[in-house]
Amino acid sequence: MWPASYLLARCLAAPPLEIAMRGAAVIELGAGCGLPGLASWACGARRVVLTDLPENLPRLDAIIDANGADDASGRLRVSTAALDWCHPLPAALMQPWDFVVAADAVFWPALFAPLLDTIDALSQCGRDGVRAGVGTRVLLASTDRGRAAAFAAAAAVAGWTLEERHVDAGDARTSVCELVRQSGNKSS
Amino acid sequence: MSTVQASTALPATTGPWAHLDAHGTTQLNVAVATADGALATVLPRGSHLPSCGELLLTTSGHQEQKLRLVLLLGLRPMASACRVLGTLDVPVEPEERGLAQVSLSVCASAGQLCAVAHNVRSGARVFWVFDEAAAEAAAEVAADGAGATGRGSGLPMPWRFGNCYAEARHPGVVVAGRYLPLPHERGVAMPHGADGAWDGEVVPSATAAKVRPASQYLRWPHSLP
Repeated sequence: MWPASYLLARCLAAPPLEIAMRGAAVIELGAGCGLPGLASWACGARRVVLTDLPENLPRLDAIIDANGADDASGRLRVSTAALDWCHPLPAALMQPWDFVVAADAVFWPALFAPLLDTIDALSQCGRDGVRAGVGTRVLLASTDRGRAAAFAAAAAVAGWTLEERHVDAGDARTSVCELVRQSGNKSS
Repeated sequence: MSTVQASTALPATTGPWAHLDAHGTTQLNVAVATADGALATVLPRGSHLPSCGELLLTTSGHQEQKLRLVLLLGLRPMASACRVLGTLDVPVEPEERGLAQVSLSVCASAGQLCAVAHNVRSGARVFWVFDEAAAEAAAEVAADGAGATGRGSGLPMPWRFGNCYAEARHPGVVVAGRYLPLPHERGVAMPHGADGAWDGEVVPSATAAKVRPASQYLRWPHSLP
């Protein structure tokens, strides 16, 4: 678990996002320990899916078990799913998402384009299964290790703008940004 | 749960908020004394009343059995230069420093100041309500040295991610008022030269093993941008 994960979790659990989390459908990319997703759940998200590479899912399942957040009872709302950004989006994840969140997901430049493609696909899954691109908010937290500018440039090429939302008071390199579609760019 | 001190609501003129500015905002910080003699602010000056603040604290010494929270009112950076409002002793489980987590919530209205300290792992809560007489008594105790810093004093430090105070890793974190246990992987062998990598920094050779396309950068490091 890295500081960006903790910062994003705190950001999701604080106003104004805390209120928006209630009843929301949230998907976390490259979840790792899944803290931001669990924070969404703690804030009252209706459905949370923690995604990562298949080999990382057992750990995520164990963490969900430890938190009593599995959905076996049909009442709780956290689950896991395998998601490789370099592969097409699984059909099971083609659902409307209110929030796409990811922490420290922008370290390797080779993954910038696959990550942005995945976010684009997830944000365009409409509420009726139609690609609508309405209402999905994308929040990324990261610690700048010298690649933030390159990621911002890649995002701009893909039609996104990074807007800073929160900066860690203890480490200015760690921040939460919202990925916002550039005006006039409806979809790719 | 236990109530340390309690009193009825105080009139604004005699309470801690006698010094509101013309806009009705506070002019002084409400803070807690930390083990290094400084302050950790809970409610910053300029807060519009009613207002609430929260701070996550941890132990500064090993095997502490309580966390002593000395609530202060003031602007100066050192605890000794601020007015003592009251003291809460929160029992914690004896363990390595930096692992206990106590969430302090302070709520202030025009006539009242109250606090709740919550041991997030045991669930124990200590309640506190400002009382002028009790504050004076607490100030005298502090002046006598009971609030001295150092090991055994029980004074806290702000909890922080990364746990720079302890070798052990935190077993969980508090988010949205809920304690989220996060079991760590055990026995993970870090790559050579990655000692101390648990400080929150990325170890490229460790992450690349999990991130397939990134392995090219390990094979051809010069291709890193």
